[in-house]
Amino acid sequence: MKDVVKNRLFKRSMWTLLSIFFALIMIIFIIITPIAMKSYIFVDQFFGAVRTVPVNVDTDNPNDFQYYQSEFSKKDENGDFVLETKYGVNNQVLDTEAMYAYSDRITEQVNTEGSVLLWNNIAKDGKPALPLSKGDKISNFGMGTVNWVHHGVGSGRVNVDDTSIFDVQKVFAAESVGLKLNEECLKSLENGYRKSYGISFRQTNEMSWSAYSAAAKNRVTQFGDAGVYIVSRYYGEAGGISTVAAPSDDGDYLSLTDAERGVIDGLISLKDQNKLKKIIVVINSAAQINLKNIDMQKVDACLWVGWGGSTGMKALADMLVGNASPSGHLTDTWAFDNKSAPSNKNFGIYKYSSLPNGIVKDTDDKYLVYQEGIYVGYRYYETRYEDTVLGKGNASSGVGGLMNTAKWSYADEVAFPFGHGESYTKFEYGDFAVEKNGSDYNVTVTVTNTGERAGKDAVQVYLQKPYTQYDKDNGIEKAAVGLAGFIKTPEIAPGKSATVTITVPEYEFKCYDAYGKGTYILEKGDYFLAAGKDSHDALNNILAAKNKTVADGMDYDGNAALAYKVNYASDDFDTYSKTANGTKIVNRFADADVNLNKGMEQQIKYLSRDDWQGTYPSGAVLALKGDENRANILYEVDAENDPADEMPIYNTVTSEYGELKLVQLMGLDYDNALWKDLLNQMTFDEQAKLIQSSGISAVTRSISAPGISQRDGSCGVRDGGYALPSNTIVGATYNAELAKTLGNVFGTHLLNASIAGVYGPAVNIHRSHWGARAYEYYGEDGFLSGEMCAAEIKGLREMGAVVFVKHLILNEQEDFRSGMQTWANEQSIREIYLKAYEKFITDGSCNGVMTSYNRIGTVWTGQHDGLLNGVLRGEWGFNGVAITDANAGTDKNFGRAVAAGQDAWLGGMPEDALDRYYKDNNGTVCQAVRESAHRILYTQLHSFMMNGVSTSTRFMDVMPGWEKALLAVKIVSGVLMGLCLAMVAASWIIWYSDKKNKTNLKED
Amino acid sequence: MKKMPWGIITGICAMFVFFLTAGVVGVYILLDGIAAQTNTEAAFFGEWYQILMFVFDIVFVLGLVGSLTMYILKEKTGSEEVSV
Repeated sequence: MKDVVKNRLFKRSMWTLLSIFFALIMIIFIIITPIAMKSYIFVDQFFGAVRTVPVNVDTDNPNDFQYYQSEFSKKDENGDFVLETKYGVNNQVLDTEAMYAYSDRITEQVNTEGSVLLWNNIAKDGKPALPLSKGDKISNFGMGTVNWVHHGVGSGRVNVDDTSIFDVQKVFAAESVGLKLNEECLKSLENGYRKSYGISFRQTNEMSWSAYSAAAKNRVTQFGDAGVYIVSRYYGEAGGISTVAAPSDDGDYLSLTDAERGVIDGLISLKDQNKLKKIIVVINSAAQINLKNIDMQKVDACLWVGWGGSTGMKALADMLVGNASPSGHLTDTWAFDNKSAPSNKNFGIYKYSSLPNGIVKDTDDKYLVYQEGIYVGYRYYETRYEDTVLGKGNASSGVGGLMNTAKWSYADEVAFPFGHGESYTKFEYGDFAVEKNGSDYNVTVTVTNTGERAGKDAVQVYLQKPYTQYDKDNGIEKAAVGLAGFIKTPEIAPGKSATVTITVPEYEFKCYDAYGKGTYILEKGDYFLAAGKDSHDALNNILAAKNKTVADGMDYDGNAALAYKVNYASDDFDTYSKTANGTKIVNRFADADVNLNKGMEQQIKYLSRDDWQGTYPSGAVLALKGDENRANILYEVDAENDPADEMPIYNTVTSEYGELKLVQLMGLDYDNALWKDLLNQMTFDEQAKLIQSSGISAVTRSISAPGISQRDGSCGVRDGGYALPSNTIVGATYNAELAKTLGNVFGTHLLNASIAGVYGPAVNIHRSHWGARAYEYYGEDGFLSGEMCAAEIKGLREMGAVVFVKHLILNEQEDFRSGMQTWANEQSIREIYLKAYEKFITDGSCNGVMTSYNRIGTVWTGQHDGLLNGVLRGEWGFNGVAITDANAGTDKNFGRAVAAGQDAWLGGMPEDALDRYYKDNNGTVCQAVRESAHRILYTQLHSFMMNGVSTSTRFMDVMPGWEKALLAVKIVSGVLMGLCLAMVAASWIIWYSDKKNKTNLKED
Repeated sequence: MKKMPWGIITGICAMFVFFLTAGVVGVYILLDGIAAQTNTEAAFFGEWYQILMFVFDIVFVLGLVGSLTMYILKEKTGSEEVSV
């Protein structure tokens, strides 16, 4: 027995194998550790780990230093905040139940005020098709019914914890809604979903009419008050829609698929047989759907609900039965076929016809030309319409027409104009008046509810600028209308009126003259301010003021009483050529204009209303040329050292107050002299570290600066479990006050998560219906996007958030966005794409931006001096932080980007990336590093990261859990390997002694 | 066959199975983490080396089962021989 135990215990092979096993584990973890440490920012974020914790070394109570507070903060019996330390913030614990209940209320309001009733015909019963009545029996169709899309893909997506909120049975049949659902239809859809029908990323596998069970179709007779068909699409970041081969007649993912058309035809057939009273189509897609294949007469009503986040489906149910009235207005033009927008001629994959040596094919060989210039969305359709009425610019030629290729006609191409939105009631406008107040124009409109239900309306004011001979001579384009102001009315009871005033500053009258004066100018001529239900209505009112009627080709007569003419007798080339702070406004994007870029040596035509036929884009063909362009693409250009830039002071206490802590600068202006002292106190390494390590790690211990915890979230805190309505819906509310409240809700969610910095909202422009991240953006208009985002930012900032608005700039396409070379003229860059940022940066409400993956011309956005130092810092006085997109841009010569005004690297940069500039006494880069540190610290100071921080707070280093785990595995595996080796040795000794004993026995 | 060191083979196979399985899972977690940061999507078999690791993993699982069976049979036969 003893021998058996001995033989089993001291088995050489077993202990040898175990030694190897533990040795391998130890070796693997020894190798993993430095790799993980090199990417510690990502690993920290992955595990939600922190490296420092705030500790108060004095008697200061963190409760007394809660600079940003929530009404949902929990308090103990003494009335003190209940605090917890999370992500390095000593923050308040919130009553999440109350917080989410309030969030539900606000987000549902956003959803109902942002959902757009596209049409609402009079149904067979003589009443508008919507709303339905409580108790109505309905039949549901479309996979979106059981596979509802609440958000898109990518960084804007927020997973929802409680998916029962998308259970149609539960939501539609709730007591407050009271709809009765055709169970057989739901069964059929659920069976279909199990059989792989459904809505997945860039794929729509809809059930065809024949795939619905006979029982479902038969039961429609009993549940025939309405057939509700949900059309869903699902797309998002990093995956272009234009490249998806879709099962539709034209291969466009945003056209109805054959199956969808088949089901709608099936429903129409049931309606024709009097088995179904109404057909309601619900569009559950952020971007516009091509409406060419929907019969708007036979489909009784259509409601666009976008992607509404957590409360989207509940809002839909409430709107269907009239608990809430949809009052949203489109933020995009909906064409019958959205490919008719000229921007689509330069959307997708374009490769240079030739490349200079060294440029890598398939990596840096793609470009986009924004050849349509300012004619994006309604600016194109409405301007072309006006020119058809005025008989100018070959506007009626067939070029650009998709529905009618012989003769371009607005009515043939556009289904619903920008700003369109029906309601459950009717509104009429009157008492239109314009009054000049200083340099502002106050536009007053009285809105009267002439319908039978209470409701809200969005009053829109559009501006028409004169298209002059100077414009034609200097390549300036003028849209027929541009949104210049808007307001959401309060709820107006039937028969009642509300008078609203919208202020349009003269500032909006200017235009950018890139090829002439190289700055903003205000031209002489007739300007029109007009109110309208949408962009087309406003233009028709302007045309009426110009004495045009249907006889001239208008689609309906406008109301001249809703338009006002302002005449400027002389040109003003001075007033708007400089900013309020006196900075001269000059061309800063000449390098992005193919016609002005020194190296390209090519000329392209931009779309011009002077000749629609001769300038309509056909897809620009470019060859990449020029040594400077080549060097930009290869990141070979580094920052130059201007001898006039002295090396900053480091590591020196210069303040009369002695050694400073960040919190001591609370309440001081950005330019206060004490900032200089604080920065003098810091070392170069500390300042460089702030730039290098974004994310949760950038704490500066010497000045007790807490860093900024950060997370994705255009539409709610990513991983937060609660999805806010997507920004397209927020835009469609035309309610800036509500957007601010939503921002407040968002900020509260951030406070709850102790995540101060959020990568969002986003204000790229819906240049094309194929822009896959449409849900994260507000719409096709820069003015609307800027105003709505500014309001949302204000709400976020009230809660102490750091708001990195993205993606600066010209990142309207997802395919090949990294390194994409985007070419555009300066007028369109400033008036369309930068316009969205201008509002919230110049009014000081925004404290962060995110630069984009693409290039402006051949220069990566993060290295574009004209964009960052020129416009952002210089003209607009931005003191916030410019962070990169994740791992975007250069892998060398980082000094150029820092000198250009790029402040922080999302994903970090190599730790020694900036050291050589310090060693080389490069005053230019070191001054830029210092200024970036200034901006980052100023931003930290004005965030809830400072909650709990007083002058006695110190940040102590702690080892993150994952590092401890790595160390523990190495130690344990090392010890076990040692033990196993000892057993190996013992086994060999025993084996050897046994062998020797046996030999001795034999000899004996 | 009786002279084959089934115990050692079993141990080696077990080791490979352990490391390859950990590798497959670890690589997925890593790629998923990177995907989350770069907003793409990770898959278990998205890269050629993930497929290769998985195939080897399966091969070694089969090896483990086979060698373990042989080892048990050998042990059983050995003890029967002893008892006889």
